[in-house]
Amino acid sequence: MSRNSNKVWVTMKRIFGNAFILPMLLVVMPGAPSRSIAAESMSVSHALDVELGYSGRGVTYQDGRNVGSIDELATDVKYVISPQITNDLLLRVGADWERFAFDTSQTGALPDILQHASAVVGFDYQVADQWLMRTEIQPGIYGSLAQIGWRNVDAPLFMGAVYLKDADLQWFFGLRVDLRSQYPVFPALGFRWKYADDWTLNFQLPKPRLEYDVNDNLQAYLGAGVKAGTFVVGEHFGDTHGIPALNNATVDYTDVRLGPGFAWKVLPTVTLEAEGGYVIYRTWDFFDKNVRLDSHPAPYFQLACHARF
Amino acid sequence: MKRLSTFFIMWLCGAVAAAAPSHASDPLENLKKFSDFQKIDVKRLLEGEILSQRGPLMNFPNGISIQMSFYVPIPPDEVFKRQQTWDPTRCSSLKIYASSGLSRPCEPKEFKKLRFDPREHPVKWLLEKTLAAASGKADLNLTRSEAHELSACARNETSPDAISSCWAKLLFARATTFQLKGLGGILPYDTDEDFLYPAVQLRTMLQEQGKIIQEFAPLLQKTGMLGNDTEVSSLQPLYNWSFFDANHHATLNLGAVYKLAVGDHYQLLDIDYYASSTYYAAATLYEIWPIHDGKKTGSLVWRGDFLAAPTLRYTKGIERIAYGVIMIQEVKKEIRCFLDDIRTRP
Repeated sequence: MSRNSNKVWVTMKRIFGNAFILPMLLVVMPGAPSRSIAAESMSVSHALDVELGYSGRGVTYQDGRNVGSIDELATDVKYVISPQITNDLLLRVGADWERFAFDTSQTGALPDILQHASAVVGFDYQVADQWLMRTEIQPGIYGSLAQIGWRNVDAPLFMGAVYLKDADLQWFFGLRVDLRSQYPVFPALGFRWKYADDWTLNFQLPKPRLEYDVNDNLQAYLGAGVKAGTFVVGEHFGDTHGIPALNNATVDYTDVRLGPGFAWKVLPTVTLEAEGGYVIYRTWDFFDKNVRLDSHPAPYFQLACHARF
Repeated sequence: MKRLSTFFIMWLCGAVAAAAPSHASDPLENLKKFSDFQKIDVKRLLEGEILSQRGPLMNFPNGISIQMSFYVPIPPDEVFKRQQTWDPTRCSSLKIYASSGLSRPCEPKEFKKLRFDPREHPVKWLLEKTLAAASGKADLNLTRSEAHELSACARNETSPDAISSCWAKLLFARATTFQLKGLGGILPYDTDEDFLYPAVQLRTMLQEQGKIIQEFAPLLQKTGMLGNDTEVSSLQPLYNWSFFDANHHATLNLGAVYKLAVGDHYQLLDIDYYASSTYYAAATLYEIWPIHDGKKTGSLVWRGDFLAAPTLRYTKGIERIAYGVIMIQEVKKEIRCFLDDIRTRP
């Protein structure tokens, strides 16, 4: 009975955790485009990104031992307001909430929820004629929000620079610094190359894509997506999963998706995306405790809404 | 008496010197007065550097501006002549399919070079949009009656040559009206929301540029750009049309270039008073001063580009900055092609 009620609670938590987005969207979205048109000032911009994804069951192994099939609900909501301070400098202030909910009815050392709620503080700056840079720090709570302690506080830093060669070719350089991660400094290199009138190779992490413009408002793409984060699990997580060493342990979560999708510009300010495919790589790595879980590939489907106003 | 005459000569010299800047001023000082370039290294300009600066955010949401300054190794009057005779289609990076001057009054045969090649993807886009023009949702800048006429003409015979003739008729009609009535004669674009007047777009953008307006006041007043639509230009412009790839869309435009000699230098206003799509209107102001490099007389050129485009209304923040940076790169390409042409065809 208690196991059943626990399962219901977990299911409810997974579903209602995501349902929280709906009222938030209803509050933010309706006013967005019309407000920007009404306002004469162009000096403040807003960016709202919402993603909802479901990955089907993938057989998961903990250090080689089958711990069952795990599915996943992933949610990400990020809002950033960006006032222009000078001709070359824009501030970035906002909030980000990302949540991975896993079906943990199996026997593995798997957290049921990994999430972070963080502020976004940073700036965009034109450093030179053809160089723009972005620096962003996301201080917040990383782990299970049910048990908040100092160990959950983290502040990963993201730095990026873009070299704008011309309208068709741009180079990207990025750096993620998270001192808690197994890889505290993670560099990235990318480019966006519109090599034909309809085709663009948009090789930017975390979402490299090959894009095809079906028409002015619809784009088809074949892309990859990397979702990653460093979290701290609860103080009794290890006890309840039979490995006491995992109490308050740090886990690096990474998944890599691959699949086709569509991006539809419903309004000049709003783009909707739908994509599906396979999660080809998924791992929970308690790297400093030598415990690691890996999943076999599993199908996924994702919806996203990106608004710029 | 001698003291008095000395005083008179000194006063006269002072008066002449005070008046001089408007005609034979130091070009660098003049440039600093109204432009965004406050530090200018002449040596680097002479070596071929092109100075560039993104303009500040405009209150006008559709507008964006940039400023550039560069050296051209020929005198100012030659620069103007070369600009008018230069064939930009020779420079492939500019993606210009055809370009030509127009006489006054213009004649239909002057649009003969307009040929649509459907193998070019941007041209195919324009062909499709032309056939859909009557729907009013074709992203083309037309009046409602133009849209219907163009669509009917294109549907009558759907070959690319026939459709290019339909466009030639439309351009001829617009160019003729402009030659007769000036800025006040430019037909508006019929958009979903309202009528959009290219002349209003140009004026609104320029009116935000206080120092530049002051510098170019004589030219802008003579062209009627600062007044209202009832004012006709007292300067006779040179007319032209172009067919080019703008952001992967084949675009047609009609332009006019006004020139005014101010003492030893020139001011130019180059406007695109009609664009078939992608943008609404554009204006480029030039000031060209003589500058001496040893025994040679070259030209110091300042140009300010002002562009009104529908997408800019929705392009904010870092994306708008990037738009400005890319616009600078595209204009630099054009300047480099022009300078290469001067070097290779002296």
